[in-house]
Order: sequence, then structure tokens, then C-alpha cells
Amino acid sequence: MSLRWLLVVLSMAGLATATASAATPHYEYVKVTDPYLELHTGPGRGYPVTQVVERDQWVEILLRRTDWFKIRTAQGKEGWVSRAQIETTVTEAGVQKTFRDVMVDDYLGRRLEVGFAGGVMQSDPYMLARIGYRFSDNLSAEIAMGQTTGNYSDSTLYYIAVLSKPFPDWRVSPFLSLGIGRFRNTPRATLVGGTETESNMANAALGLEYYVTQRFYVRTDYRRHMVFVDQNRINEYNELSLGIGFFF
Amino acid sequence: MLLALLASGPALADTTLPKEPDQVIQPEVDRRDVKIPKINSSDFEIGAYGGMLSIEDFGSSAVYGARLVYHVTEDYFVEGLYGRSSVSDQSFCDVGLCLFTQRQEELTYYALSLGYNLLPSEIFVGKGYAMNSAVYLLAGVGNTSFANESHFTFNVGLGLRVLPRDWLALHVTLRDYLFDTDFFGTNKLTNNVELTCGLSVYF
Repeated sequence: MSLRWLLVVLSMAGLATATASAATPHYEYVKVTDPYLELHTGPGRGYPVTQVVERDQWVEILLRRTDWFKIRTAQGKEGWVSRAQIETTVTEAGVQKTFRDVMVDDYLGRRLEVGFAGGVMQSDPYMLARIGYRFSDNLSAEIAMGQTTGNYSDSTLYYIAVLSKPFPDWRVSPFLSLGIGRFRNTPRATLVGGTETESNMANAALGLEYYVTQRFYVRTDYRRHMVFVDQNRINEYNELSLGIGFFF
Repeated sequence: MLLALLASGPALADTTLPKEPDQVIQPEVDRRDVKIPKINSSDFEIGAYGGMLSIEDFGSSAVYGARLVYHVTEDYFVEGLYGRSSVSDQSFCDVGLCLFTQRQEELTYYALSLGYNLLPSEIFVGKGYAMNSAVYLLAGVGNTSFANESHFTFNVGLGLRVLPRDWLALHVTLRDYLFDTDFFGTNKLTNNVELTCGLSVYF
């Protein structure tokens, strides 16, 4: 009985120490290989350099904001280092940490993307927001919501679309897209006799995607929407939009 | 002598190659298992703001809203806003021209803007305290809806962001929303100015 109690107490103590050590954050350590590493007071190229770290010193990377990294030296001094400088440091495994490569791989490996676009639909201004998921380099899917405000009515569109990119490794990569969704038309309150209508919709698009940096791309779409108003009538709307997107 | 060296060259090569099964030393070096932790990133900012919005022809009222910002580079960021306010046609009703179905109409807007950190700087308070800050410009598009109508809106703005800590930001923003209204028969472009203070957290 007492032995069992002892075992329980020891295992709980073991768990406690394990969780305690997991709670202290483990930051990445890199070693400086340049003659100096300059520490700025803020994450920007205009902020003054108040500290330097010499070659062969170890620094801890605490945080990244845009292209700047907040590091702490062995003496406890903190400052911001630009990505270009920190790329030349060496990790604990002795390998040069190429942040650029890591980020480019991230672009190809990142699956979730969020984008916004603006443009025209039948000469009315049009805005849309979308969330997409990349299944592979060639295939991705997205959910989009768009809104257009015209002189006589406003329309809201929701659709799910599939995108196919035949040449994903081109810098300017074309794509083909097909989607289905709903189209809701709300006439302006100042019009007499207008009724809100909601119908099914299908659309097809051609576009180009331009990969600007590691984190975002610019995209242009030419999309044709077919709204199935009733059995006899299909309205067609052309949309041309330009948008940006980010990866997560 | 040179020829002799050359002749012995291949012979030397033969004897230096170790035979596979008779290798004396078996190197067994354990790969040092170094776990490289992920670097924390904080490019996003989420926060709330409140202030005053003035609608052309109708008057001013309080506005409050939420803001989500993504910092792309040290110079550019993208900001999404959602705000609520109210608009009243009481002054028109007082002279006999009621425009809305009820006196106080709710107004909501959303906007997506691109921002540029025009003047990144440091703000000093007293002798020993410095905070990173930036004066930024904003321009964007969005939608404003009130009285059952929605209006495509452009917005331009100027703001000040102060960071008392790396993860906390205080904002003061002056913004102008431009949209067309046709309450009086003709389409006209209205300027609607908003002044707000906000607090955001980086994550």
C-alpha cells in the first residue's frame, strides 16, 4: 500500500517537473558569424543602432514582426535585427539558417490563404473577400463573398469555387476557375415596387496570379456569372477584379 | 625520377583503398538531436476603437468598432474595419421633410484599407521612457449602409500609432469616408469625417 502511494507521488512529481520545464519557452539560439550584428531600437530601418553583437556570440530570437527579429544577447540586451543580417547567423546544429528559403518553402507549403479584391461588375464597383485552401500546387478551392452597389440595386454574391493552376511554378501563373453559389439582389429603397430576389448562380473565371513576396500575391480575375433567375431567364454579369492575398 | 613517381602513383592508390569487410574502425557518430523551435511572429493586430462620426447633412454621433490589421512589411499594412454608429434626420423632420422611416437609423460600415507608415519614430515621455510610434496614411474601399441603403465608400485617413509595449498599440485616427447619396433627388458625393481613439493588441 505504502509502495503504491510512493509510486503515485513520484510519478506526479515527475509530471510536475516535466510540465514546469515545458512551460519555460525555448527560443531559438543562433550564433553570429558576421563581424557584427546591429541591434536597432525598433523594427524599422530608421531606428538607431544602440548595441552591437560581436562574432561568435550566441543570441536568442524572441519574436518576428514583418522582416525584423527581436533578439536577446547573452548579457540580456534586447534589440531588433533585420532579416538580412540574421540570415547569416548559424543555428545550434551548425547550419546556416536561410530564412529566405524557409519563407519561400512556407509559401509553397502554406495551405490557407485569405484574399480581398476590388473591381467592376457590369460597370458597378465590386468588392469581394475570399478564403482559400490549397490542396496541391495545381488545385485549390475557395469560398468568396462579394458585394456590388449600383444605381438601382445592390447585389451580394456567395460562391464556392475550384481553381486549377496548370503552371504553378511560373512567377505569373494563370488559372481557371469554376464555381457555384447564390446571388441576392436588393433594389434601392427609393425605387417603387422593387422586390428582393435570390437565385442560384454559377460562374467561370480566367485569371493570373503573381507571387510578389513570400507572404502575398496579387491576382486578377475575369469572371462571368450566370444567375438562374427563373426557368426562362439567365442573367449574365461580367466581373473584372484585381486583388491581393496572404498566406497562413 | 619523375617517371618513377608516376609509375608508383597508381600502385600507391591501390594500397590506400580500404577493403570493405576488413575495416578496422567502425565510425558510429550519433546525430545530435537538436530541436529547432518555431519563431514567434506577431504581424497581426486586433483591437477596438471609439469616437465620433459626422455624416454630411445629418449630424454627428458616436461610433465604435473593431479593427484587424496585418503588417506586411515595416512600411505597409492592411487594415479591416467594422464600425457602428447611428444617423438621425431630426433636423429635417423639424422643418417638415422626414427622410427616414424612423428618426434614429442605425449605420454600419466596413472597410478594407491599405496603410503606409509614413513617419516611423520614437516618442519620448520624460527622461527615461521611449515608445515606438508611427504616423500612417490610409486609403481604402468599403461599404456604408443606413436607412436600408448601402453605399460604396472610399476612405482616406491619417493616424498615429504609439506602442507602449511591443504587443500593445494606441491609435488616434482621423478618417474621411466618401460616398454618394441621393436623398435630395440628385446624386452627390458626401464627406463624412470620423475621429477615433483605439487600442489594439499584437498577436
